[in-house]
Order: sequence, then C-alpha cells, then structure tokens
Amino acid sequence: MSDSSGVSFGQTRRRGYCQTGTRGNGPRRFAELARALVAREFKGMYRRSILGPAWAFLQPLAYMVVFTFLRGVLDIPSEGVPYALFTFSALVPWTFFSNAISRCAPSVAANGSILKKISVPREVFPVAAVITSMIDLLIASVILAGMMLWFQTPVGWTLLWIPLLVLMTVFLALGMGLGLAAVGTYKHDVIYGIPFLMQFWLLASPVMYPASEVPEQWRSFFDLNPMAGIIEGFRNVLIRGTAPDTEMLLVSLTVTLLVWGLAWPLFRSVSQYFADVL
Amino acid sequence: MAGESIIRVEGVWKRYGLPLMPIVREGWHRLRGAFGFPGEAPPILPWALREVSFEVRAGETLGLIGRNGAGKSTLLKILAGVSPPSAGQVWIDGTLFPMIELNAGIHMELTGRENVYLLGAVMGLSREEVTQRMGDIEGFCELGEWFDRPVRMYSSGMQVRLGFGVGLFVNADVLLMDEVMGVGDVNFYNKCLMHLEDVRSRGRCILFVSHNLFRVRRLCDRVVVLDRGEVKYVGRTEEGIQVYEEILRAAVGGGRGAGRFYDLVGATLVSASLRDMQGGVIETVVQGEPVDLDFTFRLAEKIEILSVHVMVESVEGVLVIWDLVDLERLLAGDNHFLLRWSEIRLKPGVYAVSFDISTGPFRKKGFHHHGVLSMRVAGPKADGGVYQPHSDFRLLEHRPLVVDPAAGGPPPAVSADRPDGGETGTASCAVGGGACAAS
Repeated sequence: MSDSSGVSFGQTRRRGYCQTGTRGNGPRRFAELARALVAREFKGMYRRSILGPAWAFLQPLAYMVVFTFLRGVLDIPSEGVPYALFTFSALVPWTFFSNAISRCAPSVAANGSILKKISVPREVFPVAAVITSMIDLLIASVILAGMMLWFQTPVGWTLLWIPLLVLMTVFLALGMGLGLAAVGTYKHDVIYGIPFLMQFWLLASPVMYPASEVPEQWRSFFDLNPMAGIIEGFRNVLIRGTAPDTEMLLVSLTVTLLVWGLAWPLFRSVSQYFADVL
Repeated sequence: MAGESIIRVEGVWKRYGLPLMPIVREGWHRLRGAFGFPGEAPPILPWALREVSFEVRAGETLGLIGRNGAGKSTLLKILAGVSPPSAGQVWIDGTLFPMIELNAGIHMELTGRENVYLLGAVMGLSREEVTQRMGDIEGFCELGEWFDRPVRMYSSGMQVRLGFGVGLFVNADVLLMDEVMGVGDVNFYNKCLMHLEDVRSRGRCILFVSHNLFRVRRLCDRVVVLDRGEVKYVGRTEEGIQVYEEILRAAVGGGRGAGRFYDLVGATLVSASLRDMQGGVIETVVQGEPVDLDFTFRLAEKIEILSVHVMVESVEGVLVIWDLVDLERLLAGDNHFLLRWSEIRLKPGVYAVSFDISTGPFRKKGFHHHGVLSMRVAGPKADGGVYQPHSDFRLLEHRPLVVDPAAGGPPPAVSADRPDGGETGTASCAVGGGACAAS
C-alpha cells in the first residue's frame, strides 16, 4: 500500500487524479450497477401504472393499427403476408431501437445525482437504458410470436439470424445513444429533438412499406439508413423465411462503426466533465 | 496518529466548464473582430480553486470549513474523482467513499428494501454483500414496517436514514462527509456519531465538511480553511476556526451595520464603542480585564416602559451574554448608556455585540440591531467551551497501586482506595468522564 503510493507520489504529471483503491471501477462493478439501474427503471416505471409491462407492446400495436388504416388509403403492398404481421414484425425491432435511443439520451442528465456524488463508469447509464429497452423488446417479441402462430407463418433456420440482428440494433442504438447523451447533457436541444427525429426516422425506414417499394432513384440514398438493412433483415428472417440481404447489412454495419467512431471518443472526452454541468 | 499520507492534494486548480470552450469562444471573438464586428469579450469563469494543497494522514479526521462558495464542494468533487482538476494532482491511497447525498439515485416508487439494493450498487457493494448486510441495514435504519413501503411515503429524515444505513456498511479507507447528519432525531444522530467514532478508530481517515463549528470541533483533528478557492489555513482545529471566524467577520463589513435590523419606535443607535477603563476606544479586550460598552440611542419621541438589551454572541451564534436594563421611560433626544463588564471571561475569539429595545409591559418588539460591534477577546488559547473562569488545575499527588502479596490475587480495586484519597479520585473521574463525553 505505502509502496505503490510512494511510487505515484514521485511522479510529476501536470494534472491528474490517482486512486490506488480498485473498488471504484472494473467490469464487476459495472455489471452490478447496470443490473441495479435496470431493476430500478423497470420496476419503477410500471409500479404506478395499471397496464404495467403491457405498455411494451401497446406502442407497436397502436402503430400497427394506424398503419393498417393508412394502408387502406395509400395502397401499400405487403408481399402476400397479412399486412398486420408485415408491419408488426418491423415495428417490434423499431420500437426497441427508438425507445433505446430515447432513454439513452437523457440517461446521464437523469442520473446526475449519482454522477455528481460518486465516481462511476459513465457509460453505465446509456448501457442500462438500452438493457431496459431490451426487456420491453422481449415482452413485445412474445406478442409477435403469438401473432406468427396465429397467422401460421412458416419459419425455418433463418431465425438463427435474430441474435445477430438484435445485436446490431443494440450497437447502433447504443452508439447513437452515447453520442446523443454526450451532447444532450450539455445542450438539451438534442434531447428535445429526439421525438421528432425518431418520427422522421420511422417514416424513412421500411417499417410501414417494404424496401422494394422505394423508387429506384432514391434507393442508394435510402440504403444509407442503417435501420433499413436491419429492419429488412428482421422481416426477411421472420416472415419471408430468407436470409437477410448481406449487402444492406454491411451498409448498416459500416454506418454503426462510423457512429461509434464518432460518438464513443466524444462521450469519453466530455464524460469527465459531466459532473460540472449537471 | 501521524501515519502515512492517505490523501495528498498538490497545487490543485479548478475552473468549471469544458477546457476547450474558452479557446473556442476566444477564437470566435477574434474572428468577429477581424471582420469588423467586435462583440463583448467572452466571459471566463473564475477559478473555483486556486493552488490548493494539503495532506490527510491515516487515522485523522480533517475538517474542511469555509463560507458558501469557498470551494468546499468543488474540492470534494475533485477528491471523489467525479470532476477532474484543471491543474494539480490528487493522490488517494486506498479506496474512497463519498458520504455525500447518500440517497442519490433513489427511486421514489420503489420500497426501502429495493432502494437499498440500488444504493448498495451505486456505492460499490455487490448484491450478495447487500443481502448479507440487509438485516443490519434494516436494524440501523429503524424504519420498521416502512422498510417495505415506497420511498415516496417517507419523510425526509427517513430517506436520510436509508442512505446513511447503507453508507455505513461500505468499507473504505477514506470517507468524505458533507453534513449528512443534518436530518434525523437526536437518537439517530448519536447513533451516527458512535459509528463515526468506530470508523475513525479503525485507522481510516475522514474528510469532514460542515458549517457547524461545534461538530467540527468535536470531530476534527485538523482543519483546512478555504476562502474564495484558496487555502487560508491548514492546521489545528481551534486555530483554524479562529481564522474562519475572522473571515466571517470580515465578510460582514467589519461587523458594523451589516446585521439584521428593525426599528419600530423611532430609535437610532448614534454611537457604540468598547472602551477601556481610561476611556480609550478599544476593539480587543484582554481576558479577565474590565471593559465598558458605551452607546447612545437617539429617540424621535418618548417611550414609556421599556428595556434595553445588549447581547453578545459567539461566531457559532451562541448567546453568551444577555444584559438588560428596565426603564420607566426614555425621553426624546440622545440617551447615553454605559454598560460595564467588570471581568470578561470568554474564550478568546471574536464576538458580535447586538442591541435591542423592547417596549411595554409585554416586551413588544421595538428596535433591534444585530452585530453592531465586534468584540475581540485576547487571552490564552482554549480548544473548547465558551466561559473560562479563573482556574487552578493540577495533579495533587500520585500513589502507586498496592499489590497485596498475601492475597496473591489482582491488585485491589480502585474503589477500595477511594475513601481516603477521595478528592483526587472523584476529581480525576469527573475529568475523565467529561473527556469521554466530549470526545
């Protein structure tokens, strides 16, 4: 104990903070804290509601009803699949993605009291937000599975793609969430703008319509949307019984990596000053 | 006591805001200037801490005192590793636990028990550790059946108990404390103090921030006095408190005219001064010497049945002298008073003198002026107390313990020795008891 401190006392850095105790960080602490935060969010969110966790699937269900109505007006093809299932299979991953981002962005500001008090790994708040959304995804998936049984959708080995697709959604959402949390903690405009952004993004993604319906001249632009590849992928493996379009998935992957390349260093560098502005 | 350093702070500076922002703002300002649109110079936040250095050793409790905005919280944040210093270094040997806002992150809809798990995770306990200690925590919080009810139904004191109950079970080498015991009843407060003594005796170190000088005196071995981000004093508690008292006095404008004031009877305090026996105006009174307080009230109209009060308060706000004179009437014009204290036996320090007039048989509020004068008492240093009577304090005699060789047993109990050596025995006992209660 005294030895290690003696060594570090001798160093001459211009500025720094050094604590020899290791209880502060590490993967175990991260996991414990994330678990507790998820438990708090999940229990706390539904404790005073009548419908409780049903809200996890009520949101995509409501969109499904609206889209089914819109379809009658706009005449959107659904490739021979019942339209309700066609759009719901996309709405479930979409809702997860959208909720994860909406929870991530304000997560740091919402946990300011913890951040200002004790040294914790800052990433734990966005991560906990995404995990909380994953519980909702799980609940909604049960409804989706029930629907697939009801419509007797043939399924096959392609379902094995699902973990990868979910993982890609998680990473994209977390990457976006980190970036938005980093900026949003300083300038709240970012947080206020998210509902609008997500509405826009929903319409720009193949949730209501199949990607094949997008006019050819816009297609290359459309494919830049990382959620396009992921959602089409979900629909492929769930209701079309085919593997995802690898080219579109690669685009999604590239965009995800780009997002991380920007958001992660940004979050790291500004996160140390979070306590100063909260 | 004087163990190795546990905390070492060297030349820490801190300014809030992102480090690059001033450069960005400055650049934007110059750019505007270059294109002929000079705006106002970008504001730069002042330094919150300047060149702060001190050490805390093992087993020590260090107090951190200073006025609001002196930089205490900033320093705690830096020590907790929550906020990075702008320059300078901080070393902490071992683990650190900030006992600040212990219910941070609490969720109002969850029960006390559920929140204990959350608080435990925030404070760095694993779920198993919390489960193991749940019984102790539950017992300590004294919440009874409320422990399984939502926290939103708790009173603020109950919430504090919940946080404190978890915080006490975190093992850390360094504790940072910031007035956490503000809420809670006397029993709970005493319980907390007991636990703190326990923590202190385990050879850890505590950094204690408080505005309550009484608590600082009681708990701290040494203090750091901060003012406007700078360290004004590091060292013994009592001297530090005196430095702090002077900062406080200086801040209220030399003690004159800045205090609380009201006047409902048309009275003006024209002059007030402390004078020695020769009539010269003084500010410092030597302990044990007489002093005159000379003051004049100018009245716009006559007042019937009144009393004039003079109050002397210590910096902690303890009223140490309250003198009054009852009068049948006071006429319009200047009324010159003299109050003689034949012997000032207060602990050295700075005291505030206030004046008050109440009227009528029910002593209605009339005039009040707080902190008109400051009276400095000079004399031998004292670590505590307020009043210092003439005293003669010494060891009277010493007797070795008598071992009875015939009995061969342990030496006779002290009580057997007491009747003949009665006075020495009871005196030392009383002193011992007093020290126990005071530590």
